[in-house]
Amino acid sequence: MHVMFGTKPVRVLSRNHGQGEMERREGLAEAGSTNNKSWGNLMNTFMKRLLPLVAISLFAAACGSEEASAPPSSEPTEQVSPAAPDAPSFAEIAMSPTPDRREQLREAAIANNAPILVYTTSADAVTVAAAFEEEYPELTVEIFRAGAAGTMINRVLTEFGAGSLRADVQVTNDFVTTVLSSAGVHQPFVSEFDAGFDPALRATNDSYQPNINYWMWVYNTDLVSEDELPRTYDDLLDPRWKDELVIARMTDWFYALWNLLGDDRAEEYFTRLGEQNPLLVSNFTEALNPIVAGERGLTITNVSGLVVARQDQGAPIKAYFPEEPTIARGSPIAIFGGGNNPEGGLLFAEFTLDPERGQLVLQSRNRVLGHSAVPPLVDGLVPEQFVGINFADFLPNEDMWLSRLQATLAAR
Amino acid sequence: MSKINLPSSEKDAKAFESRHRTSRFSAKNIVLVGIVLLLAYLTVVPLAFLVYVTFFPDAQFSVEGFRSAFVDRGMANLLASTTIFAAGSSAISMVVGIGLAWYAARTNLPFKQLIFASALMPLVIPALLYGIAWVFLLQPRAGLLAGPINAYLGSDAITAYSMSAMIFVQGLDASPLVFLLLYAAFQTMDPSLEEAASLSGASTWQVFWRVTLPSARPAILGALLIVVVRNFEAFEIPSIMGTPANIYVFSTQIYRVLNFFPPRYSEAGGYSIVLLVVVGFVLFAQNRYLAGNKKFATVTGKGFRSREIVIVGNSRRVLAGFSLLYVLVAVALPLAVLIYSSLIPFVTRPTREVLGRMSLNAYSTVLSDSRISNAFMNSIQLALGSATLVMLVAAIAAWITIRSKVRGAWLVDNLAFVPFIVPGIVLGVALLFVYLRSPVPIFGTLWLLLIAYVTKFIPYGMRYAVPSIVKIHSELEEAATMSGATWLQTFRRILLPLMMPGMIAGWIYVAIIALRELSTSVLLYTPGNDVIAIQIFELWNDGRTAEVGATGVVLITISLVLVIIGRTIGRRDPGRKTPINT
Repeated sequence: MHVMFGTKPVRVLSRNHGQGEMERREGLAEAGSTNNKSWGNLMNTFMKRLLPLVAISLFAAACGSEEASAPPSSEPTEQVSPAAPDAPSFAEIAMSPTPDRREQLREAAIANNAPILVYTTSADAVTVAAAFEEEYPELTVEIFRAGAAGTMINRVLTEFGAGSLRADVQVTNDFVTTVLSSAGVHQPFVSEFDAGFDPALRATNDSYQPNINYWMWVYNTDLVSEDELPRTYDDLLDPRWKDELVIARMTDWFYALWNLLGDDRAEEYFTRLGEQNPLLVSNFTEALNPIVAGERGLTITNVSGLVVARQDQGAPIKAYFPEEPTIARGSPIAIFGGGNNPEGGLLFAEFTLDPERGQLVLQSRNRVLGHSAVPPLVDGLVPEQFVGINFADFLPNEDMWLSRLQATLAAR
Repeated sequence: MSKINLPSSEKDAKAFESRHRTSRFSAKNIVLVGIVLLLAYLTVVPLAFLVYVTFFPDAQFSVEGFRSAFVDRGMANLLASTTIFAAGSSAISMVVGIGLAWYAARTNLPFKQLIFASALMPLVIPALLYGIAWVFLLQPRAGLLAGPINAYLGSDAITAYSMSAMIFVQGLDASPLVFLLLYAAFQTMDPSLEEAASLSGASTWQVFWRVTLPSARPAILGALLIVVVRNFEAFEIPSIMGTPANIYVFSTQIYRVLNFFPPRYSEAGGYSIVLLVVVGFVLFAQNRYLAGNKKFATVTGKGFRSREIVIVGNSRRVLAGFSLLYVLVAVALPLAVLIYSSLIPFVTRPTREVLGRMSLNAYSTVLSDSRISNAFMNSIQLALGSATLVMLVAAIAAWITIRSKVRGAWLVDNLAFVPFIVPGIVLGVALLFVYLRSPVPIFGTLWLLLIAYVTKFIPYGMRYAVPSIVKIHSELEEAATMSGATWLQTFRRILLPLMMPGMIAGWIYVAIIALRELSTSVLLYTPGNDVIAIQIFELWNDGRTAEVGATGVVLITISLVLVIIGRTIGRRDPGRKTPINT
């Protein structure tokens, strides 16, 4: 299904329909090189110009490592296998999903004698790591939970800029993945399970989507009856929903929905939606709490894992998708290559993408899986239609989209 | 007290003179210079980083960050909302903090121990949890407190998502900062002034307003300064209660621009540097005022016993009633909500069905989770270490600021205030940036977090140490010096014991805010070195409200134990033998 809204083509996708590359990847390299340059310049020049000024103080003593202050490379670090001199590099291994690769990785990971470091913004990675350690008891996984996307980006790029990136794997969202990929931090890899993952769903060429989050609409069954539910975006403008809506204020969601509606319609639509006096909260948890508590009737921004967990605990809520396309954002996994235990990192990524291992762990957490052979445990978690978020277009104009959100949805 | 050795002969006089002659390499100078260098080191790193990323965002000088911060983002509205928020909440913090401190430290009113413990509770409950508890209480429809009231009134007048609710909750949250400062000041107050006023016919209110408050002016000024800045930069409560209603303040705006990519350091720096200049000016003026003014020195060479003000009759009942109302509103209600949330899977009205689902499962989950218990251990070590170091450094730095005759000594106080203005996330990036390149392998250890905490909490330590020194008349030091004591002896045996109430208050405050620290830790920790605030933040992001509540309750218990330890140490200190604590 290919729909034209306004002047921007928006490709609406359906699961397993094989529509080809999503628009979001267009222009990625260009946007990325600008961002990377800006970050790198800032950090390098800080070192070069400011260091002499404060060298008089003890500050200089702490910053004196010449080796460490080398400018960051824009190329992924290649890890040379500790085996024979003519052995394939880690980069080559990563791109060659041979049948015996996992065993080779396991042996190399054990030989590295270091924990595998996973940087993540999601609790899923913690659960997958526990299952991984059960499968590979000789290996240890350590988790760095960054909480917010900005923290994750700051941490990885500062480590990278200092030439001491420690992480092996990242499990986060499309936004962070696109930023880090554009900074040239990732090590590209080909998974042994590549065929099971729709290339149209990938956020970047150097990552996979173990699971996808589709924005669901969730209502409190004590406050809202099924026959009065809004089914389209326009239905939300009905006076019935004044003072009843909760929306997670995510600028990338706003951007995607704006483009779905089209420039001509979106401004007026969001202005009117803002007049419905929605609660504009920060994240999915804060969006669901007022619905569960019975404070408000409906949120249009939530995801399956949280919703099903609350339903299992007895919360009076139900979820559904609108008849129009909803917004989708993945939780990609990528590897870094030059970290603590790169072989272990790749092995962890493969475990996560394995339809008989990591994918089943995520399934048990009520996620919608990236692998086509693993359906969700609960019906109704996959929409008929959805649109992804074009981060290559969104990121350079994030400021502008925030201003638009403020001027319309958050104008009251 | 050491034996007094007055110079009795010419030989002794020469020895005395030689001992006290200002030598470039005397112990005193080594300690003072060492502290100044340490402070400079701790503060120059984040300050240099802040200034650089603000004015050189693209490696060339630019004020674009300022333009963007103050022109593009509707500075007038932001400044107005932040000023209203900070002024309103600070007024509440000051009234509540001073009132409770006076009640607990100066009067004979009942429930003093309860009031002391309750006055600290908003500090002991992390701001994130305090804010969440108040949202559960004040949601207009489902709120456990506001819901029934609004239903009765037939309106949504009471709501958590408003400026007035933000001001109220932030005011209560920051009141322990004022309470601790003023409690220490009131404890060390010479009661003879109040007694004289009473004997002259002044009423209790007149004594409080015209004698007690003016003589505590250094502590009040210090408290006002720090509480205003603290409320200016408060993040959690504006984020939880303000942003859903589109109310933004400086801190939430800084957080937003730092979450862009690339992070808008120049903009965040723009906000911070304006704040830095304003606070720097106020600090300068305050120190000039205090340094030249000996009238606030109520601890003199004349011995005194601190005595309570006797209040009887209706005044007693009214004041006790107000204090119990405070305990109920500011402490019991949010604490009850927190405990309630820890017993049920999700927070909703307490119906029979919901109450039937109550369990202690969250506690067993939290207590059996090795990451959480490890984080608790790390946080406790960091709290104890950073509080002790901060107060030691602050005590000496405060002496330099107030007592030393060195020109530009006021700069030390300003220097020590810098980390307060640097946003936590910027401080984190600055330290990460430096220590990733450090030849000393400190990254990946708790030491880096300790450096971060000491840096971040030095300003608080200073605000407790400065009024503590101001209160001590310099005649005591002069007497010790004349009796042959060296500077170090005088500092250790005269000043520190006399400063002890303020130092202990500062130690308690720093230890507890160290237990809550999140914004800098989240950038600097490595697996195995995480702290409890990070665990709470993760649980909250994962929607595990029961575990958030349970962890919060355990954290509050640990914090209370720290308070008890602090008070016990304070009582056991040699200072007990000094007039102020006998």
